[in-house]
Amino acid sequence: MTLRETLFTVCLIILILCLSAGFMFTGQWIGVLAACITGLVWYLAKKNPASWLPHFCLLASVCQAVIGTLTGFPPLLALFSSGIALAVWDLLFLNADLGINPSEAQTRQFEYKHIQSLALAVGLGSAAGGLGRLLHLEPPFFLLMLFIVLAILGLDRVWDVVKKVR
Amino acid sequence: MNSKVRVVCLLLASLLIAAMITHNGDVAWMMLPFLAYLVVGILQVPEREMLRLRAERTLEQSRSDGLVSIETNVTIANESPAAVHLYIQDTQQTDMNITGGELSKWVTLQPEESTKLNYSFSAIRGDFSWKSIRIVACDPLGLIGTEINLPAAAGIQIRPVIKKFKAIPLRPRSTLHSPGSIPARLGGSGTDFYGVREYHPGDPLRSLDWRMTARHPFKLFTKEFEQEEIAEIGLILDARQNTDLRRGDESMFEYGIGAAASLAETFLHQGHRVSLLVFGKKMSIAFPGYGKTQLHRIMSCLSKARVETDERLSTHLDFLPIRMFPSHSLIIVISSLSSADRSFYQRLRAYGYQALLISPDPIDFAHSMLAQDFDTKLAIRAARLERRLLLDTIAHFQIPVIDWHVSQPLFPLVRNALTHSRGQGEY
Repeated sequence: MTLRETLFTVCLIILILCLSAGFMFTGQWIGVLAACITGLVWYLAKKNPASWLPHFCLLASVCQAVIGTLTGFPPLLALFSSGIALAVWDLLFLNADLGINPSEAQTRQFEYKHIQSLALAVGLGSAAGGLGRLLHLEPPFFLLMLFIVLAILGLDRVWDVVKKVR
Repeated sequence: MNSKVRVVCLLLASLLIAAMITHNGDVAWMMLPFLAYLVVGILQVPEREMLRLRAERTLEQSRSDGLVSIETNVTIANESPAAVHLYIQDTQQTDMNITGGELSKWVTLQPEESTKLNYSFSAIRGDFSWKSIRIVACDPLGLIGTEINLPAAAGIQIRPVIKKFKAIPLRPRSTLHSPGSIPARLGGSGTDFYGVREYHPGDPLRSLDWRMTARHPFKLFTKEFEQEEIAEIGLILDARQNTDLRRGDESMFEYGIGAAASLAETFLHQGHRVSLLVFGKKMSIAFPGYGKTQLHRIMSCLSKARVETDERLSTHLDFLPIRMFPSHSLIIVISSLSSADRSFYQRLRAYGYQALLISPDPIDFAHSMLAQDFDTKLAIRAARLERRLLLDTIAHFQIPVIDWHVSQPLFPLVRNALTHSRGQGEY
């Protein structure tokens, strides 16, 4: 088993565990069942990466995390679940892209770089969200929205700069 | 923007809307991993000005015969000052069958480092050429890429497989006045005895018939030998849509190609002047010529020959530029025939060409694919009758016809047909 496949399996197990634990915490057994079924569908999606299944699975996992949050799920667990769902989704595509390639040194280098960047992104995002929660930063809702909209607009500016550079 | 970016943006927007509707800050916090994912990707996008890549393609050989595996290597070198993450993809051309290696890969190249894309392919025949290779330089997450087509030109011609025929003794009605292998029914400098005539001043003394001279005092006689000349042969290969009949991996058109290649090689080897016309949507022509160079020209035409769909009238055989063949040539047409072709053969004879039709039998070729019910059997019978009638009509124009079942060896059929075809009179 390659590193990306191992990571995919580990992340998927963590995702199912997180969602199941969250739903168990709120006593929603149907949610636990939904999380387990989504886990199975993730495996099906791994077999058919070119289909819409991977996107559907990501959407389903994030939706479960959102529903959980709204029904009393521990917020940190929901945040972590959505980050891990993103990682599983990305690793699925990485595995599909590199799947047929032999383990060449330069391809392995790309794989490590990809995993590093993914870990950085998921880690940073989850840590930032988690830190905000842990430090009891509870900005007014509209301020938070404003911040997010500004971040998205900022992203748009970065995108423009990238396009100009290209 | 690729599908990954689109999905992440969609999720971000959905989470934002969900957070606004539910007035829940925790849902908004869930956007952060997705935002971080996009930011990490965008910040690592390589600058186009900094990208300096070089590609070189090498093929094992530039010309090959038949179904052999061809090794292809594409070397991509990174001459940029920084490491680059690349997706390298080569194009698979029509009729190429990849037998090993990979057509695409993801790599990270350090400065001054290079990588190789190796793959092997086989093809029945074809003319394959590449101008460039597609490279996408992107961030390590593969979110935003810059597509570059790096020049990496190379080409290979895979020629049809030639079945070596033995020499075919031709009896054409007229020959070209160049020394060859066909008895020309003219006295000259051949090897076979032709006759005796009275001595003319200038005749070589070694050709004097001493016995005849002894019998007729005061007269001298010279032995004549039959001059041997070459023939002018034109090959017409029908590449219209109706010839493209397929049975699994087999194609009837490929049998026609093989027949044309083998005949061209045999005739050129015998020293004749041979030309080729591939008639279809696109016509390709090898004008009359001799020897190995002409064989290369003909093989090149046959390598490129394709059956293309075209419903235009211009693909009717009546539009074939028959006058490109020198008059009195021996024309060999390789065609599976269609019901409207009769007039073409009539015209061929009217122009004074000596002709031979090699017609691969499409009914026999497709027989194994057809159902065995009563209706199909009846339809096959009707089709056979129609074909038989058409072949008989063409035979009435004094054109020898070979009804070729492609599973049969072609050589004995052609030898029999060409050896006995001298009697074609003027039509």
